[in-house]
Amino acid sequence: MIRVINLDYTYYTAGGAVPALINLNFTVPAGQTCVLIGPSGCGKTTLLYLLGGLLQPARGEIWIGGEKIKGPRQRTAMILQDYGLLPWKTVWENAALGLALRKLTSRQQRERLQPLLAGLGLSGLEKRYPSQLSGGQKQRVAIARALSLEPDVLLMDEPFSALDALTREGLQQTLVEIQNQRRLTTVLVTHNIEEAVFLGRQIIVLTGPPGQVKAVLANEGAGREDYRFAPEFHQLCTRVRQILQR
Amino acid sequence: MPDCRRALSYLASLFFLFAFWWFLATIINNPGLPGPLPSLQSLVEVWWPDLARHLCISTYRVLGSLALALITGVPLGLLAGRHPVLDSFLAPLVYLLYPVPKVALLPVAMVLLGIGDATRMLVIYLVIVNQILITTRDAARQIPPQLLLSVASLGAGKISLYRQVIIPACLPEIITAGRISLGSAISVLFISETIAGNSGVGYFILDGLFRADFGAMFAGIMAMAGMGLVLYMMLNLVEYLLCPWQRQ
Ligand SMILES: Nc1ncnc2c1ncn2[C@@H]1O[C@H](COP(=O)(O)OP(=O)(O)OP(=O)(O)O)[C@@H](O)[C@H]1O
Ligand SMILES: [Mg+2]
Repeated sequence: MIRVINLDYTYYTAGGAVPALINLNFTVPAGQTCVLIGPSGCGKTTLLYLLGGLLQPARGEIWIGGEKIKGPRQRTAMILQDYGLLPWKTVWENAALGLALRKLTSRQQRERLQPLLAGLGLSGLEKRYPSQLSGGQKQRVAIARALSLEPDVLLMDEPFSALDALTREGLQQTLVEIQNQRRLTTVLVTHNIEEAVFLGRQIIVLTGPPGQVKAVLANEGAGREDYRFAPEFHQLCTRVRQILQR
Repeated sequence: MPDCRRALSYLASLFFLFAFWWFLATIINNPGLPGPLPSLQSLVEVWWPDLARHLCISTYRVLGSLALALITGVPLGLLAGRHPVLDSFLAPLVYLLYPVPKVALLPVAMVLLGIGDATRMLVIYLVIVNQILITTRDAARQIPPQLLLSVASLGAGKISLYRQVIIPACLPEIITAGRISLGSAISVLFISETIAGNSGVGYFILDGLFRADFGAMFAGIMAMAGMGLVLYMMLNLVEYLLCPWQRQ
């Protein structure tokens, strides 16, 4: 479970203080997917960095699984905007990086990664460099790297924003399947309303800057196979759009 | 075969250069500019053991100072690029020293250190260490924060970040800085070898001039050009081996 309590964050720049988040409060139950949506610059990435322990809150607290977050947490995996794959490492080395940093032997790395890469349709690409992959393939490598650490929390920042519609929906499906198998507590940032409604069991609409919670919507149907064709899906999309435009 | 075609195009430009040289030598028709054939002939004559010995000494001086500049400039540049506090101390220093003509310090170094290798290498070092330091620092500054954050989120500490992200991110730029420095290093080497002493290809060239042995002089010039070319190719090879992700 993720709990965010009275959270503030401020950037300090040469031009002065830039408040990025003001008084955020929300809870993501264990095993659920929560989607953050909001206009550009409203602090979604900042919030994700705070959840991942890469930034420290100016005020307030973040608790994950009964522990207060003070820095990067072993079982939290992150996928950042624009992938974060290292251009100088091959697909295999990129995917294995987390395991290598945790000092697993190359045999242990192979045992964990081979089935993961195969499951994500990346077999045979192990020796390629990221510049030799398509956008969708890159993103699957990033997913493989995140899952290799066997996380219980997965944080993703616009993971599919650079992809065409079909690839995007394919990967959304992949994510739903991973979610059904592993029951990760997931926080996903997106600009895309349909993506938010398809994936988010809970949808948090932010406004800003500076970022504040505008609405929290429950979404029972998230991840259901034919959800995209259901009337509730379209109704909810319309509602999110209305809230965003208000 | 693109490799084959590349080799051919290099051969063709080499041939073109020699043809151009031959053309110039023919129309100028002055013993001060012998053509390529007489020059090659005297290269064969003076090569062993005289010119070869001078070439070894010159190569040692260039490579030694380049290595020294890399060993000190790269770590300093990386640290300055990643730690603004260090940079705020280093940047003004580099900035103030940049316009000082280091070659002008050659006489000072000679008084203090004598006319051995150390003097020449020190001056070459002073000329090129700036270039390497600044290029490395700028490369380290420009690393996308997302790369560092994503690796930090995997649990990487400071040292792992340097090993996995910062050093490889800067490596191509560092090698480019090395290539650019190589040109400056050879120019300064030549000057330093013509000022005093009796060793090195620079000395050999000047000695040819004074003895009016223009064949030997041109043999020396060719040897120096060849040294530059071989070192340049070696740096390309190093890049090919160390930066496989940059190969096409
Ligand atoms: N390093 C920084 N220094 C100063 N201000 C920053 C910094 N990073 C972000 N900001 C500011 O904080 C606010 C939130 O930025 P953030 O990147 O979290 O937005 P975002 O919601 O992720 O936007 P986008 O949808 O465009 O990715 C913005 O107004 C931005 O200008
Ligand atoms: Mg963002």
